Amino acid sequence: MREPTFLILTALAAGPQHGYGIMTDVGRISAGGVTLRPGTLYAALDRLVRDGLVAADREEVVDGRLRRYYTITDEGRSRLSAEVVRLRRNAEAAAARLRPAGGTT
Amino acid sequence: MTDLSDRYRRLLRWYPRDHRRDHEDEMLGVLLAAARPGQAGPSLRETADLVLGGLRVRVSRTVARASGTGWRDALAVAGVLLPLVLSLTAVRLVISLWQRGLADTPAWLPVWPPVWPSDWSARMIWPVVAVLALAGARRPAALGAVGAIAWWAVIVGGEYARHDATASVLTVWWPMLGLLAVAGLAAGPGPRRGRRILRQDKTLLAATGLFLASTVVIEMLRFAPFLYRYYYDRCEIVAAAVVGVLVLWSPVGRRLAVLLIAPAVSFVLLYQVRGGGTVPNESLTVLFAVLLVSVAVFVVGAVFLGPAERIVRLVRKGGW
Repeated sequence: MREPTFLILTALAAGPQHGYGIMTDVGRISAGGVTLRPGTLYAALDRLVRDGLVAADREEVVDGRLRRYYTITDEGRSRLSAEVVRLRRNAEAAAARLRPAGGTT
Repeated sequence: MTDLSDRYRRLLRWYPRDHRRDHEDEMLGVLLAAARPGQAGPSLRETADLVLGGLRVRVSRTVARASGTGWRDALAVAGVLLPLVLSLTAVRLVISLWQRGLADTPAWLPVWPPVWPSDWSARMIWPVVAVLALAGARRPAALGAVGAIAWWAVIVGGEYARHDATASVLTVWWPMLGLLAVAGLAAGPGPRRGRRILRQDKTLLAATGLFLASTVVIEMLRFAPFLYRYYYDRCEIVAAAVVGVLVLWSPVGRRLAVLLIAPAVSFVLLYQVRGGGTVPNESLTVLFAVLLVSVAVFVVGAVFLGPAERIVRLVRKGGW
C-alpha cells in the first residue's frame, strides 16, 4: 500500500471527512511530512472508491460549494488493519536490529 | 476569487468528463479553501498536481476498463459462490450416504453417486472453505481450496500410478471450479467484495438462493420416492432454467457464466469422450485437448461478451 493511500485510509478511520478535511488531517497524521494536494487526493479517492475501500458518505453545500464526505468501508478498514500489522512487524524487526547488544531501546 | 476559480476550473479539464460532472464543484471548493489569501492564479506546483492528477485518473480508469471492473467483480463473486456450490457436492454425498442406510429405499430409486467417489475426502474440505470465504478470510479460504485440489490430485494421481483409475478423471470438473474459486479468493477484490456484490445485486442473489435451495430440496425428494419419481426431472429443469435466466440477467452474472464456461465445457466433453465407460490412462492427451478447447471457448466468450452487450443496449434504445 502506497503512503498516500495509507494516510487517506488512516484519516478516514476516525470518521467520515470531506476532501479538504482529509488533506489537513493527512498533514497532521504525518506530522507535516506529507502534503497531499487536491490532484493527488482526488486521483487516489477515485481509485479507492472504485476498489471499494472508500465510499461517498453524504453531501452538504457550504458557501455555495458542494462538500462531499467520504467514509472508509469495512473492506478498507480490514486492508488498513492488515497494513498496520505489516508495518508494525517491519518496524519492530528494524528496531530490534538497530538496538545495541544489551541495550534497552 | 472568480478569476482564480475560473483558472482552477480550466485546469480541471484535464480530468475525464464524468469525473468533472461528479467532482468539479467539490474539487474547486477544496482548491479555493487551500489557496493562500490574495492568490491570483494556480501555482506551478498546483498546476502540475492537477494535470498529473487528471492524467492519473484517466490512465487508471482506462486500465480498470481494460481489466474490466465487471470481470473483477465476477471473480470476487466466484470466490464466494464456488466454495458454496462445491460444498453442495459434499452435502449431496452425505445425503446419499444417509439414504443408502435407509432400509425402505425402493430398488428403482437411483442412488447418487452409483459408486462412492474415491475423492470424497477432498470434497469434504469445501464446506470449511465456504465458511471461511463467507467470513471474508480470503487467505485461509484460498489455502483450504488449494488443499482440497491438492488432495484430489494426490488421490487421482495415486489411482493413475496404480493403473486402476475408474471414473476419477471425470471428477476434474470440480478441481477446475476449485481453481476458479482460488483465483476469486486470492486475486482481485476478494470474497468480502463478492459478498457485498451479492447483497447489492438482487438478481444474482435470487439466482444463488434458488440454486442452493433447489439443489437441497431436489436431493431431499429422494426421501419421498413417490414425489421423486414424478417430479425429479421437472424440478431440475425448471430450477436450472430459472437460475440460468436470472444469472444472465445480471451483468456480473453474465461474466460469471463466461468464467464457468471452461469447467462446464470440460465436463461435457469428458462425458462425451467417456461414452459410458471409464477413461483409460492413455487418454491424458484427450484430457489436455479438452482443456485446450474449454479455454478457447472461454476466450471467445470473454472477447464477444462486451460487444454483444453493447448491441443489446443499442437495440433496446432503438438506436439500431
